[in-house]
Amino acid sequence: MTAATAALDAPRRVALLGNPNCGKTALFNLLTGSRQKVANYAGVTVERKEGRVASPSGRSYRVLDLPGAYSLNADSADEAVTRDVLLGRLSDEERPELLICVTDATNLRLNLRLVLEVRQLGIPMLLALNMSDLAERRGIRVDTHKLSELLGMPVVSTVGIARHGADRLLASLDEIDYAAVAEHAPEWKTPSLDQVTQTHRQVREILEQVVASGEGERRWDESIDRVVMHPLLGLVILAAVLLLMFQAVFSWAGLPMDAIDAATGWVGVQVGGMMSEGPLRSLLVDGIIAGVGGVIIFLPQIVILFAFILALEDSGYLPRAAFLLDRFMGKVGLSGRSFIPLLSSFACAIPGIMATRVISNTRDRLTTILIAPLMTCSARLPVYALLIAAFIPEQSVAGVFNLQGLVLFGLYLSGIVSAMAVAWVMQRFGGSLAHHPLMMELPTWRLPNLRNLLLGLLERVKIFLRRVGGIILAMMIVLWALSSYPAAPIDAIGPAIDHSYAGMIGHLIQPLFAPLGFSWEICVALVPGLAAREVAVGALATVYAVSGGADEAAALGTIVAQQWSLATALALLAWYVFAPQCLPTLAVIKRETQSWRYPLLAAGYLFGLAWLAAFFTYQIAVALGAG
Amino acid sequence: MVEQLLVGLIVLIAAAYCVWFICPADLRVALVRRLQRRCSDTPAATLLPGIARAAAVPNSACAGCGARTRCPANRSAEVIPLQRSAHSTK
Repeated sequence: MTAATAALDAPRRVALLGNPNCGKTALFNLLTGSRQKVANYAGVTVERKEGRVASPSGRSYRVLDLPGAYSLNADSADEAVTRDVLLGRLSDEERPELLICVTDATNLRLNLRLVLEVRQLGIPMLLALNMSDLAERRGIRVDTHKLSELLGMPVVSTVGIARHGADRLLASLDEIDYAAVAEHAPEWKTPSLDQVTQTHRQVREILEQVVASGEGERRWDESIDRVVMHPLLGLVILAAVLLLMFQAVFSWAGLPMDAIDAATGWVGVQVGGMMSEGPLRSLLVDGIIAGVGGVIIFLPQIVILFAFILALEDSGYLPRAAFLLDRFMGKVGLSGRSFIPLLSSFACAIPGIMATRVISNTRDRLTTILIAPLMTCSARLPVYALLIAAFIPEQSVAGVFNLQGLVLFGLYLSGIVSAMAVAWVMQRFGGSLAHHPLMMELPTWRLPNLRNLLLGLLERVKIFLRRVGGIILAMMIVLWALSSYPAAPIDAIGPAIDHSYAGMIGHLIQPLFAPLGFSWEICVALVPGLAAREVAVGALATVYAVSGGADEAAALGTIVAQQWSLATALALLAWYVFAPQCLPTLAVIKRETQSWRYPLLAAGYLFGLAWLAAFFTYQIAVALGAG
Repeated sequence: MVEQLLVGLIVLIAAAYCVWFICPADLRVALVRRLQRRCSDTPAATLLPGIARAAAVPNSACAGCGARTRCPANRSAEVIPLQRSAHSTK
């Protein structure tokens, strides 16, 4: 065999390229079956998948499944690998001879942007119109001949999950003109904003010519959007939705919370009655049942909060809210891209901080990372709920609103306003208050899927219970030990807990918090809250249970209402709006910024803000007679 | 006395779990790797694969996060340093 014939017989190098979730991997599996090799790209943990396939003519092809990408302007390691393979920048990877650009036929608007961008590289391309069956069912008709003509490449309909869904694609592989493969690696430059806008315009023009979609559905979407995304009315609707959410958290959770409270109280009494006095009884009743019961009672409120968030997400409202708030983000120098990370931070700051990877501007990303802990995470909810229930009367305002819900709404709003203020200061002193336009795909409006909603809620319940049964339980046990040992001397005056390690720690740090009106018991509760904020509530329950007995532990809200002044409660609420004490969040900031400077900066400024906010709240409340 | 011992043991386990929980996953993984090197010839080696798996599981606040399958503990090489993203245009 000569070298020339060997070269001709060598398998062609084909690469599958496409947006994430376009069904690319399903198509790859369909094409290559079990003939796959999985490894990592050199130096990174991005997975490299290659397989072999033979066309109907018997010609052999090596198919590479490139990581999903929205653009060659890489925002993630996955996208960087895709770009580098296409540009021949990876030394261990040969440039592909053919690109199969896989697109989701139901969402061509998003997918065609990448196709147009990659087309400029001059590599032979073939467009796979994947999920074409789904598009057909939704009434989306794509004129493949016209699309092929406009794009200048063959277009083939595929169904990645059907047995013969890639047959036409396979047959098309032999029809490609591989002579067009360039000798040299293609050139690529980061597109300017004008070029990106131009690509969007081009996509719109192509779609107008080739796609006929369910007009009724689109009109329906547009009519809702006209109201929901109205610059003024949209904001009123957003405020109303959020207000309803926080009202519901208090109004709907009463019954189940009472039931859980009664159940934990009953268990405490039963266990206490069955055991004789001793350390094991105290551990179980004062430590575990009082502490864990004090946190688990908030499960119904957390479920209601997440039911709203999941329903809003599933309906397609959240991206629209991002769009609405883009104007305000712009005023503080952030783009709407910061909205999704900040929104994720309402569940937990950690995924929010990780989600900042979508922000390409360094300063915007850093600012978003630093303000993410100011968003009220779900772990703060138990603290807020305990103090609001203890101090804010359950009365209606204007005959419609529940005062407790309004206060909760106010606390969430305080977090958002503070975050925006901090962002403004950071961006202003960083010299960047320029507004960057936001471009994002708005999903179709739809009714939330009940099954998805229930599955999402079940996941949240599991997560909460895992935390209760894991770190919260462990913390309560350790705190019980610190509150019970060493035992008080025989001739000691005052509660035994004053002589314990917890009492010593509390009294040691209390002078720092005395101007805020915090007692030593509150100071003790702040320490385990470093691992998880909601532990502070359980810690208070344990400290009061150890110092006062099981009966008091059953009604933490009552104890707090009796022993604290309103000024102290308000100061603690203000403290928790800013509270920096979440070690895992600081650890993630360190990891994402690759520096100790930023977690220390976050901890420092959050502590300073928390202290000042609590101080002023306490002093003003005392001056007004609430002390 | 037995009761005191039992309570002491429970508190000890809880304290160890708290430390384990607070440790970042990569620190736990590094610790387990060091243990694996030192204890490979001892009977404790049979326990180490299980501990190594547990160390890689994100169990702090990450456990409550929808993005936990992309946790830095598992995909640390994919973290984009701030300096790199500075090359992107805006």
